[in-house]
Amino acid sequence: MGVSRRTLALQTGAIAAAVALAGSACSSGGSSGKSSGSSGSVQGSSTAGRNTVNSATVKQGGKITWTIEKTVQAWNPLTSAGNTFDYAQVTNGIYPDVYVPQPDYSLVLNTDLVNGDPVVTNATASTPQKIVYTIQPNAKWSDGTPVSADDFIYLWQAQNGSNPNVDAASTTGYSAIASVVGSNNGKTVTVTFKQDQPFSDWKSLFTSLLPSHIAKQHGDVAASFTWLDANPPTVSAGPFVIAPGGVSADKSLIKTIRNAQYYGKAAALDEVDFRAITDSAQEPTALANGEVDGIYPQPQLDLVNRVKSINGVDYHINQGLVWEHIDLNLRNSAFGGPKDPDQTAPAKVALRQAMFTAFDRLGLLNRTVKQFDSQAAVLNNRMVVPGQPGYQDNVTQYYPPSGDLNKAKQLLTSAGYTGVGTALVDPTGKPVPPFVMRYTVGNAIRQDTCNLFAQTMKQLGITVNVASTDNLGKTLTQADAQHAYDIVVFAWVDTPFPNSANQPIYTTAVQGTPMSNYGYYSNANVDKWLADATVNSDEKARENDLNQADAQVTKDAYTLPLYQKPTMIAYKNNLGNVRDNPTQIGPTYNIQQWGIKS
Amino acid sequence: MLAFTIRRILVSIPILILSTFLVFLLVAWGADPLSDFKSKNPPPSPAEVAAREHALGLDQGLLAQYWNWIRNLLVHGDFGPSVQGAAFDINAELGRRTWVTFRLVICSIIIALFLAVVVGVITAVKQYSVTDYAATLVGFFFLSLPVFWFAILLKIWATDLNNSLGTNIKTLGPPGGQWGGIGNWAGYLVLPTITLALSSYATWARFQRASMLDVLNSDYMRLARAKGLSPRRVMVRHGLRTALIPMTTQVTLDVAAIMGGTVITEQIFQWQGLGTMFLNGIRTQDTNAVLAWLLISATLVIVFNLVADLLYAVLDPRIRLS
Repeated sequence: MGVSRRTLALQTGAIAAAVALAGSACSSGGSSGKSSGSSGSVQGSSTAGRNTVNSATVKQGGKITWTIEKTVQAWNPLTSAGNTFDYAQVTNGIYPDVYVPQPDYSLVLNTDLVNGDPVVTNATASTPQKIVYTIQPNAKWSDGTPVSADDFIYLWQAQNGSNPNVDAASTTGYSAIASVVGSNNGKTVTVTFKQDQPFSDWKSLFTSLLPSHIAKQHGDVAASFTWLDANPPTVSAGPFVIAPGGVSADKSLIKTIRNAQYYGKAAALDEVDFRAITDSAQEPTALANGEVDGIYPQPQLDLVNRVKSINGVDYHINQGLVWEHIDLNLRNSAFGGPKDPDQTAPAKVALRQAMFTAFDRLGLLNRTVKQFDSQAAVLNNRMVVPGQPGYQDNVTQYYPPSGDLNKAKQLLTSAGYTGVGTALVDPTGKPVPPFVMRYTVGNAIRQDTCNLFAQTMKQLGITVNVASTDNLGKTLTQADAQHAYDIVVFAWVDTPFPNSANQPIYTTAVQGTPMSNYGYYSNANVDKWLADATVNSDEKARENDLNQADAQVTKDAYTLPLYQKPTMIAYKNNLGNVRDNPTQIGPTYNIQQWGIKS
Repeated sequence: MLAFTIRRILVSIPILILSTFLVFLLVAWGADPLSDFKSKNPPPSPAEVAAREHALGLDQGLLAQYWNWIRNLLVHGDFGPSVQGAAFDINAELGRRTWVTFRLVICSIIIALFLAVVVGVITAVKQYSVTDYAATLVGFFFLSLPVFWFAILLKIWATDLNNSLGTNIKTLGPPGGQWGGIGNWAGYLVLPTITLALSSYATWARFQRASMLDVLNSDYMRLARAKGLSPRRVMVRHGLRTALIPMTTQVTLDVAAIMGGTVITEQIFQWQGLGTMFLNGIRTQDTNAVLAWLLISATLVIVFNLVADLLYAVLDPRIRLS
């Protein structure tokens, strides 16, 4: 799998709705049900219960067709192009991971591949962090070549960032490794980190193990990494392998068959085909027509209703790791300024706080995603989502879910603003300028978000002009102070590895190189906490770091989390063990367990 | 005729080149093929970005980029690299997808043409009759139908039909353009063909009706009837044959437009043809893929315009291209 650590959600199509999380602080819910042709009732499922949804005894054999939303144009899940969710649905059963993210966001060791928990030696002042993996003696590729330390070494060499010609999607974690050494006939792997760079999210490493023996046949690391991207997998160390001639010329149909050489428990199904349907609106009809057996679209009201009407289909809606938020551009002189300290001016902080205080996030949900997901709720943390370790509400105390217009006005008045509710004037007598708020063109819910935000701001005396962008990435990655947005709504994609993922988003950035901190937020304490989270070996300490940072970002009113977007899975109800996994690995995380119910 | 053809082809070349240049500028100014790559989190290092830019030739000026593109195309027949993935070969995709789209378009044209000629002739002959009014109503109905809406309705009806009668109508296109077996062939084609055919049919039927009415009211038709020829012979040999001449050129001209306009139909029925290639190229800001699509579309327009002119000359002896 190895899909992006935490990537910007750049959905540009009419991606619709989104949902939120569950109400309580420690569990998120979801909706599930059976279509009209089946018996059963709609019921919620807690995050903890997600791992066992649709558990069933399945018979050996059978074939199903699963839907992906892109034709597969890259086969190496670790390159920038290959690091795509839909491609990973195919390769999940072929290139194994050391740790497999579960539907409840926990991580489970792949004991087919690795013999026992890796031995971790934490860093000290004089010794670096060290991790020792023991590969299962019988683990081998489908051509008989043993899975060995060479495969681990290859992944490190390709992703350590030392060679810019290697098209690696991410170097996170690998760039902190000093060496990867094999021993015990290649079955023991010793990973040693650089002295000053321990890596707390080490379980995110060594996903999508690639065949180094095949890579060696195709040039150096850069060349072979690209070769593996351009060509369908010829060997597999997972429960499935690409069938001979199994890739259609247009890559819209990928046939995978059970890997007869698999060293773990054999897959139940004989064959899993992946069919690309690049327009999610067409997926329910294909499911109803029996052309596919399961779909995993972004839910929208019409789509959910259509799925509900299909006979013999079960569906589930969960709150996932993608979450929407409103960001302020702190390079705008009203919010901050060209220098980092500008954003700490009390009046500017008050303006930002007032804007977030006034906004009715729950009202937004009621008008949009709650139309098809009653479990949707306001999100109150930026670093993790409900159900992930360490989640706590760091937002409500400042910004109530339903908004508080009077409190917002009071904040402005106390800070010396005049014209509150009519035409806002800052304490120096300068009118607060109109702001441009951008959303991704074609994204109706984001457009609604902007319009509702603008309406609320009008009640404070602030003019917000809503505009779209057809290139969110370009809009966000402003190279200078001539920024392209003042306020923007978009989404981040969390992973089960929040410690390293959050740092680039909120750490003080150099002008012109914002990393992922597009709005140039700056707070020394936040920098310190997030840096510590990436290296601290104590889980509770890391959670504390993240929450302190989150609380500070809340107080500084840089971003306002809105809600988690929903995920939706629908499948023929004769299938067992097929279930949603709202992490980056997706539903095929347990593809070897899929089968026809016996 | 030969000189005319050569002259038209020679004139087409600079038009094609100019069109590619204009579109290149539009796409290059409006899109950054590395936009997604640059906005990763954590962001790639400047060295990584520079390496990608160099690999795609984006580190050069716009004119140099265009020159390299056109030179590679003319000298090596290479449309350039794609940002959609290492497995996406624009040259190979173009060839395959053109064939996929062409098959779809040809099938729909045959059906639309047949229906249009039959209905056009009947409604002309029976002008202002109930049949004429009914056909006109149906024609305008199809003409005003939003393709995406009608196509989705067709899919839902087909699914119900499959479930109730056990038919095998597909709502998705053939993977790899391979449909294997006559049963599958029909199953894949029926829905997109109907969708594409009906909108063309509506236009062409009106065109054929008008053309036929012109002919029916002409002097030579009266003469033919006065000579005592049978009504059937008058209608088919003298009337229809003449009325088909403008229709032929109209259909020829429309082929290129239909080829370029299959985007919605291909998307709804998931045919991996030129239309979906164009859409994906836009979505991924893949300059080279969009340019390749444009070149094929522009070439088709020019070629079919030429064919239309030539056909007109061949069919109508009064026209002399020399």
